[in-house]
Amino acid sequence: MYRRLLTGLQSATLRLDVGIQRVLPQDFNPLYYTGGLANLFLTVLVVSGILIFLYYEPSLEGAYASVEFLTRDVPYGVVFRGIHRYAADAYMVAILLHLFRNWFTDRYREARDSQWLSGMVLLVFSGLAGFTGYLLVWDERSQMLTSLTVQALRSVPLVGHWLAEVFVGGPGVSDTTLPRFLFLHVGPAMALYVLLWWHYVRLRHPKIWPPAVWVLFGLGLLFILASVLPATSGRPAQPGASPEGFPVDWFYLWPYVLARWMAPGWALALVVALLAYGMVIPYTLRETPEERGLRALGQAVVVDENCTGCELCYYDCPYNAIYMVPSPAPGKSRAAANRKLLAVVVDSRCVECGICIGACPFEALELPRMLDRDVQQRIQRGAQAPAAAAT
Amino acid sequence: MRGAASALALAGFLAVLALVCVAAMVYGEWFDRRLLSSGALGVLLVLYAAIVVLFRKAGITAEE
Repeated sequence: MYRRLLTGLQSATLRLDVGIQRVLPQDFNPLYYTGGLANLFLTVLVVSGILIFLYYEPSLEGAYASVEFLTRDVPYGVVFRGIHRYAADAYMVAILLHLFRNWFTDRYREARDSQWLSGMVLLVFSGLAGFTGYLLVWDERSQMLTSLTVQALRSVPLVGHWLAEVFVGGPGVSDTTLPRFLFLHVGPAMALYVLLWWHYVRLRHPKIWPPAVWVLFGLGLLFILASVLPATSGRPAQPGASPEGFPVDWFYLWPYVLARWMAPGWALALVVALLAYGMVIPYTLRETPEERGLRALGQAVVVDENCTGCELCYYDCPYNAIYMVPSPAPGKSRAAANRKLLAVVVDSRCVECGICIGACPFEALELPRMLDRDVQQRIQRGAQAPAAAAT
Repeated sequence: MRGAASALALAGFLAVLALVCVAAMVYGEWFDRRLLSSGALGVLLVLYAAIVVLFRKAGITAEE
């Protein structure tokens, strides 16, 4: 059932690609660059965030006034605030598209589970940085979000009260609260770059930046949104007051909508359960590799006598499964006689995709259960079958 | 060929619109209407993106 659903979603994703490519050239398909688009919006967030940070005052008395000063009195301050706000939403849209596309197109298991897990951790840190951004304004919404979060954290068994104190920087809201929120906003945002290293370390050719056309379009869209729908604050937070409601940003604050129907603690538990499920998604399907058509060809092996040490396979392998080592002896073929390096396959990383075989012009790599002679026999059998049927 | 010509004509029209956006940016900065300036800059960037796509469709630029 789950497998059938995934297969349906995969074909829908591929049909969407075909539809987009009827309108746009293939290399402009934005769905090929969802990760790169997320990086673009993250860069915009960092740059606009630094500009906003220059004016921000992290204190109960000064936070709201400093944001209002930036919005009303600093030239283009309202634009930078709006760009920061909408880039955060665009960033979340891009990473969710990235997540679902890789899920539906089956690129999250086996050799790619490291990318999936790092992506889930990136999602958690991105959500934390995005959510705490709403607290920094210190308006009525910030106050209500703080109150709901403290309630949710306090309901965690054993460590709940400690977590709530860590969150607000003391037993209650105090002068240390806004600096704590600022740290919880900037800290996870900085950690994103370390996590991105984990995300990319096993990929040989990641698309980390979208084509210029999407950079122009993305930046243009942010400027338009920031100008047409400027980001504004609500009324300033009042100590002791409990506001009735607040405008919701669905990308970052959706768990707080759940608090209408359930206790904040249960909403937190639901978020944690969803994230925990996300972490185990690569391991949920219990198909044998042969059922999935994988691991049936055998991991690639280097034909020592033919390897010239040219490194083409090393550069082409998307899974970092081939390393070059100093050659202990010359190869036997003429082309390999003067080699300095020798390719070595790391079995645990090889996914038997055959890309290295296509990359090697010297027949120095083989999939042991898909040898050249087997392929030729299959082609001959295929060619003979119609002839036999015709006679 | 006809498709390329119409793509080029549309790109030309968008380039004229882009010039209007530049004028709007200058006007907004001059008369302290900065949301107009930044909005015009946004439209200008989107127009440039559209022109890049049209150039590709017209065959003027090739895949990188």
